[in-house]
Amino acid sequence: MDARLQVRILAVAIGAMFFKLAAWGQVHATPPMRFHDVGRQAGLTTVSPTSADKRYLVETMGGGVAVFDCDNDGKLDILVTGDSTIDRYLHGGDPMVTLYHQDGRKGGVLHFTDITQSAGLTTRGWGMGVVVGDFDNDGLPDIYVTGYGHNVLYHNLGGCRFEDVTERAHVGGGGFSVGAAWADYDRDGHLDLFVSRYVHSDIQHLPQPGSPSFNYKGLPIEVPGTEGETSLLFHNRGDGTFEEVSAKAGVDNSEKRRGMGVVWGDYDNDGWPDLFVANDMDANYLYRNRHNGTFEDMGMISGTAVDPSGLELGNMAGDFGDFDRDGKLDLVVTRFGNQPVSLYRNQAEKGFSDITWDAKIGRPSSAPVKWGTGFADFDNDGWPDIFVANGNVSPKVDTLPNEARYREPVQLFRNRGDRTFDEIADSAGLSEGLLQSRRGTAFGDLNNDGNVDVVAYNVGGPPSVFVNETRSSNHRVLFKLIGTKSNRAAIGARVTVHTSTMTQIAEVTGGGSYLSSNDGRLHFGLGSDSTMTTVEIQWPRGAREELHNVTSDRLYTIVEGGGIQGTAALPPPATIQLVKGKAQ
Amino acid sequence: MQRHVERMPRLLRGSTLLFFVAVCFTGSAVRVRAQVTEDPLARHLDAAEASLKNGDQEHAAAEYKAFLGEALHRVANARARAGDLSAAARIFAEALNIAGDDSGLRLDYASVLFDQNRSKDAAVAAQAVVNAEPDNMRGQVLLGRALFEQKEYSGAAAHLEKAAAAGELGEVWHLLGISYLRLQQLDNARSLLRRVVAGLGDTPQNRVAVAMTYYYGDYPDQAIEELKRVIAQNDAIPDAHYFLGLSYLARNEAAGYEKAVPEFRSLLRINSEDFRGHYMLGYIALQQRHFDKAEEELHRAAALNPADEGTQLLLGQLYSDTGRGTQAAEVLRKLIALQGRRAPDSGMVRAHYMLGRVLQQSGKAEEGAAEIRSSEQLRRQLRLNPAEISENRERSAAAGTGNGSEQGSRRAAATPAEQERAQAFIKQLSPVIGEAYYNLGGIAARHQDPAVAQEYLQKAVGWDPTLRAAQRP
Repeated sequence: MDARLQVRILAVAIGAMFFKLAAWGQVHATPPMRFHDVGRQAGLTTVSPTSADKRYLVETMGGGVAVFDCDNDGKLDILVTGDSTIDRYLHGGDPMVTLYHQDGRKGGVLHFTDITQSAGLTTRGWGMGVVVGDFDNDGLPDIYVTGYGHNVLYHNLGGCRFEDVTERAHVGGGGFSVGAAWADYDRDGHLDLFVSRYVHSDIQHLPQPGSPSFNYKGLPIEVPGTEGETSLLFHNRGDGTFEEVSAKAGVDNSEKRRGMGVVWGDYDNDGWPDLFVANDMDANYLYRNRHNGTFEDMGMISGTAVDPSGLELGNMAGDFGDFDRDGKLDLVVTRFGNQPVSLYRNQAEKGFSDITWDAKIGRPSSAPVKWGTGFADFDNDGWPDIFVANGNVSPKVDTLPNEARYREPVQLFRNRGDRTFDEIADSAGLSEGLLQSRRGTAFGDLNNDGNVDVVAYNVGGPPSVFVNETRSSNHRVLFKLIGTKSNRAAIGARVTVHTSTMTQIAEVTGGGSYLSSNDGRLHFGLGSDSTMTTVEIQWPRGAREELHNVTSDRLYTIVEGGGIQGTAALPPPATIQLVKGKAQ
Repeated sequence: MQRHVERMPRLLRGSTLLFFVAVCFTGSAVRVRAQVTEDPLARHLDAAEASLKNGDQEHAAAEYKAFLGEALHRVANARARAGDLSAAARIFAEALNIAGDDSGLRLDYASVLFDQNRSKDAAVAAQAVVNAEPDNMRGQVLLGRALFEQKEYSGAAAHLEKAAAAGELGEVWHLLGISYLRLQQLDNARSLLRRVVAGLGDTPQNRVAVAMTYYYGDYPDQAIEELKRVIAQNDAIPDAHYFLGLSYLARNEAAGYEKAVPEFRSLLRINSEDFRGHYMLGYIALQQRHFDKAEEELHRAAALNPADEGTQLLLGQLYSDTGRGTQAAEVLRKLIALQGRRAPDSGMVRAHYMLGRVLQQSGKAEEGAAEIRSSEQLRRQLRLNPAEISENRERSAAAGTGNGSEQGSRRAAATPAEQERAQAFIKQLSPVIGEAYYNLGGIAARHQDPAVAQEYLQKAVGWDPTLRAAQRP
């Protein structure tokens, strides 16, 4: 070979190496994400009775999932709402939930065991959604299950054993309850409970072929033609009982919009929890907390009730999160098919601005029927990403040309840090395996490795457990907050994390987008920052605490008024090696 | 009240005035003089006057009531013609109250209620007529339409079938066909549409009309099949391309854009000035975020049909989406002014909302909030009538615009000349109505019925405020 040519090849090779090194910082910050659905092999195999053809609304709505630690053993367990059928419901129904206890690792993967029966979660009915919160401040997470006909409050007795206290607590609800979420809206130290209800539906008199409400594009599928049902707000009296105060509080939905997913969040940064209610085929509510036990609906004024052109859409659920790190909670809302997700950017006094299309989320999210969603920083780069679960209402729709399919892939929108997103579900492995028709989603670090995992409800089957196997050198931290003056689960607490390069906020929530409930521990991706210069905690009752120079890659337990009371190391961040130009 | 008899001359003046009203309204004194003698208005008034002179107050009261029933009926119709449906409905109710049952009056009332988007009330009014007169086909048709509007398709079909069987097929087949389709009675619809084609003629135009029935009945595949057949035979029918485009969108809006766009372009090749083609291409381009194309098409549509509110709404949306707040506000303000104070519809709700958001974004928080509150108020009003609530979630937004509604405009807008004539008629008849009420009040007073007398006098003053002076002691 010509010597000059050899020199030129070497120069090109060196140049390429420099190029790769120069790109290192970027590779470091945005590692390729990788998920693996381990649901079945992890022992999640229980299948509820379900109708095959899904003709009625009650058959198409459910359900939800929760990730929480039922016995405080430090490992998240999984709760899934149960399905049923019209006939079975008329004969008493089915168990409304299935509880999987995380009992360790088998063959290197997570493992769970169905302990529903021994846990005492045996009340029958037709489960729709589930939310977790410690309503009696005893340090044990309790469960509220929404359902068609009646709801159930399970009091945690310890050791993952529960007792149905619905009647005693006066929270049975009734009607067609779907969304629910806990929050201490009056900051009295006791968790209150909001429940949304969908439509008036009498299972004894369901619409028949020929009825206008039983016709979806010529198919015999019930559409939500009837008016909605009012909402419920259960105020916690602090003695194990609740009082229904929705009308007094101004959140009763007297207009009877069709309630769906609900989520609390302090969108106006005043220290009081506000409430977003997604309404199907109706304007959403954004209830601003007026600090006196009442709320005012700011949905229209804030721009979150309808689409930017004023159209009412088929809203499913929402989630709050500060995706652009400007210190204000933004909102993502999922919708029916042919209506894109809305990403509402919080602009304080100017309200919310729908930036869906500018964020490059509009086109990819438009077609499918979308349900569970959430902000979570899956690659720990410090920028919250967005996960969306999809699936049309009935398998019958697959006979229609061009209709969104019954079984659809999930979507993962990676936050690029410039208010735009890339849809990367395929490359992240989220499309591998069988397609499912999904509904609720819950987010949490199931295996305590510092990565946020996802549990997704699959209609007619056990849930998917998408373990986040993303490996990166990014730092992260988890905070478990325990209230003392505030509610014990610290639901509503806001943590602000400052590092040398970023400031992020997150709030402990008692619920999660569509009929589900997320991990109560707060997770922050920190990118290359190994230390948090300041961690501010604003507790639900108003107290503030600051911690300084906090090391990342830990799970901290922080007690209100007592600072850090426990520390557990997370696995160290991966050491990234460049092999063939990819981060490994 | 004792002044009633003293004011008798006014009655005569009223009678004379009535003659002039009739003259003015018809424009021909000779012809009208003949009409007036036969006109029930004059007849009842003359009879009332004569009875009063003869001291027969009971008969006089009956004649005044008959006069008022007829006069109020006419005034209500004139109000409706002038576009003031609220006033028309109010006067119809007043007429029914005083004149008792009259099927023509009740059906005119039902018709106005229907035009006011009060289909439930319209159905009640029409049902009363149909109950009393099952063979009243106008009643059957109106009741069918009102029930259809409430999505009570079974009931609608039953009444429309009766009208069709009685020979009204040409008027009702479209709604009847849609009702069958909404009830998923495809075979019934097919059978009906075959009869229509056989009866009205197998022409491309009738085939397109059949396809439109399938389209509005939510059977876009059948519409597409029918329209493709029409186009294969004759490519130059604008409606065939227009509804084929809409049918592709109805199947699945976003997925339908690709096939719909060529149809709207074909429409424009036939007639480059077809507003609908430009509108739909603009609408699709806006949905696809192709803003330049959207603007071009929507401007063209606006130039061709400046009064179309749907186009103005889309232009407002376009300007808003592209960050041109000032232009958006200007268009939306004009649109809101154009909409005036008519019964709310979804376009009005959205115009106020978008204007509010634009103003908020430009820092005019208070002004913006006021517009959004107006929007909310209108939205609540719409909610009171479920038929007007936004169509189902998958339905094409485009199909809800003014260029392709299910039943077309409910009532043609009155021309300025028509409005002027109607107003003149009302203005001239009002004092006579006032007089009639006044005299009824007097009669009631003589019969020692002060409450009724007071009520009549209040009405008298309502129709003729100058009568207020006559009431003072």
